[in-house]
Amino acid sequence: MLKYIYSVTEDLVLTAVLTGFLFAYAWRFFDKRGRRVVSIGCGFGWLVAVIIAILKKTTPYIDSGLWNLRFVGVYLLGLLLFLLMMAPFAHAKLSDSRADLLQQLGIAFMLIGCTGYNATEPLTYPQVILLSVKSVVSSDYFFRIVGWILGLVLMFVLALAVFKVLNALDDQHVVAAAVTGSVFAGLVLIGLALRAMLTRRIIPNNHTVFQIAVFASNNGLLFGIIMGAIALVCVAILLVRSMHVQEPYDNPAQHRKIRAKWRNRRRWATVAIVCLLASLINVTVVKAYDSKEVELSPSEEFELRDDGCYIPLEQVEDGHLHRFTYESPDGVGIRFIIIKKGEGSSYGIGLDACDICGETGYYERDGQVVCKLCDVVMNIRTIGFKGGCNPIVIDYSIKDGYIIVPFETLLENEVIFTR
Amino acid sequence: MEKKSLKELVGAALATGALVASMGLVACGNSNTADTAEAEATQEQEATSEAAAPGEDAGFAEIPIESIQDVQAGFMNVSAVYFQAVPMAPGAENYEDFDIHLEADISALENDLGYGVGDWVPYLTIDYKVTKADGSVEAEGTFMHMAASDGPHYGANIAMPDGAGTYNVEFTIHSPAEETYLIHLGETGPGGTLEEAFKDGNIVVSGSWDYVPVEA
Repeated sequence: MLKYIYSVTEDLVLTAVLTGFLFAYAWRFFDKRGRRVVSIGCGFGWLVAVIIAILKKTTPYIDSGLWNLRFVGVYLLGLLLFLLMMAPFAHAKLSDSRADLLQQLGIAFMLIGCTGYNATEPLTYPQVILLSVKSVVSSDYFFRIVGWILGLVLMFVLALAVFKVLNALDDQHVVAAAVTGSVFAGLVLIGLALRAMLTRRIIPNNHTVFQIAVFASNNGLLFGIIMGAIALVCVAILLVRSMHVQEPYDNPAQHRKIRAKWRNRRRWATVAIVCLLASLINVTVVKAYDSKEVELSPSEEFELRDDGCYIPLEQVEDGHLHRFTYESPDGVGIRFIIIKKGEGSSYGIGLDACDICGETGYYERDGQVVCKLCDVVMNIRTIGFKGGCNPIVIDYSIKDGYIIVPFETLLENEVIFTR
Repeated sequence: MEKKSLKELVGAALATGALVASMGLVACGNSNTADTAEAEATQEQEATSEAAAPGEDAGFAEIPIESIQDVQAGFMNVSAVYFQAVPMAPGAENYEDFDIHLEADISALENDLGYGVGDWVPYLTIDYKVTKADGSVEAEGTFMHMAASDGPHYGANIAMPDGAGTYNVEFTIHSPAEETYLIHLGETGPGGTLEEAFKDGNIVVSGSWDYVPVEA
């Protein structure tokens, strides 16, 4: 669940803030038609992202790298139009309505490009989750989808709050935020496009381009924080202004109305701060917590007798994974695992290591035994059989209510635990 | 007035669309632009650089690790490629926590072991190790055997927690004899033995890797 909240936040925070900026710009400077063009652009961007996300996971025909390059192209074209149509010469050469239309299209293209680039991946998550958990009718699927939806809702509210905050600021603030945000997003997308072009050999590898691509790849968090900081500056300006409201009024009713308006603005500013803080916590604290390495359960006690390790059957009757460690004469801890298979009387017994992943070990997740290194889910029925990522097979016997693992079989595999 | 605005809108949309489309075509080196010299050059470059990436037909691009391309390792030809992490069955459908799928494409060269030239070499155990410039290990393990749309290979989904950068990648190739693969001797045998082919021990192939992540 947590993974999908912070993953969606990571993917979409830049798009959400930019969308807020651009919509505020459109609502401030364009008429009804212009706002419609921008809204259609935004909706089209999401529609394209949904279609590509579905096709990507259901057909072999979507090459993400190429699509992302196209989205960056669309974005940069939009940015060019947006900035050019702001320049005085554009209005001198073109009629106002034509310049406005081109600027509206510019914003629409930016929204299509940025949304297409950043939203496609998070929109594939329901299918990715389904591949992992195999059924939509499971608590695992439900909780992960809830995390995904919460992430999307957070990003939607963030975009809305940024829009509302900017709507309450002066023209120059709106222009500054929209230009700064869109140019910054453009630079980030150029860096990511260089990465895609490098991997696809569209441009030859050289040190400078590679370093730019590395910087763009490894600093997604920084870019999100910078975009959030731009939004936070807008919020701060609004909050400062709200403390010194000096709007004239003729009667108490007007005064109440002004106060209500500013109260509402302060609320949106608070919402924006909460969303930005939640986003920051998501991609730092929550991510760090969720990504921490799985710790293997501690080894359990067992009896050491002359001929081997004796584990009472009742100790491993519960159907869960049990781990044991035998310390060899050379001081090497040789781990082995035991899990009871279903309701019968057979047991899956093997080393806590496999031929492929070495002595990484296994852990139990939602009733399944999973390899800690490669995350392969073991078929519990095949534990004790050779092959694949299965635990390395060891000899054992069952006698007088004990599972007996002889020392020889463990010592034969001592080297695995010394690597 | 309304009509004029609509006309402007459609006109501008078409013009922009055409420009964007042309950018897209250049980006993917589509043959629609083959009538220009530049496009021919692009096509030629693509043909030489990407001809060996059959996965492209299936909507993904295998990205070669330049330093390990067609490396002759004993009787084997070794190439390393990577692309986005992928789900695999059975058991490895969950690929959420991995960054890439790293592959060793290993085919047989002229040999006296009975492998057809160009055929995939089965029953190998291949350990991989990705290290940073300071020698610390970024990822290591043993490849699994698997098949994709372009055939069987050795590979694994791996996590690259430190992201893009320059790494060293090393493959240690063990003899198929370790997997109890046998070679006929005498009149029914191909002439060589695995002991001879691996007389110097495991074969190690390594090279530098300028790694940048790929879009999933």
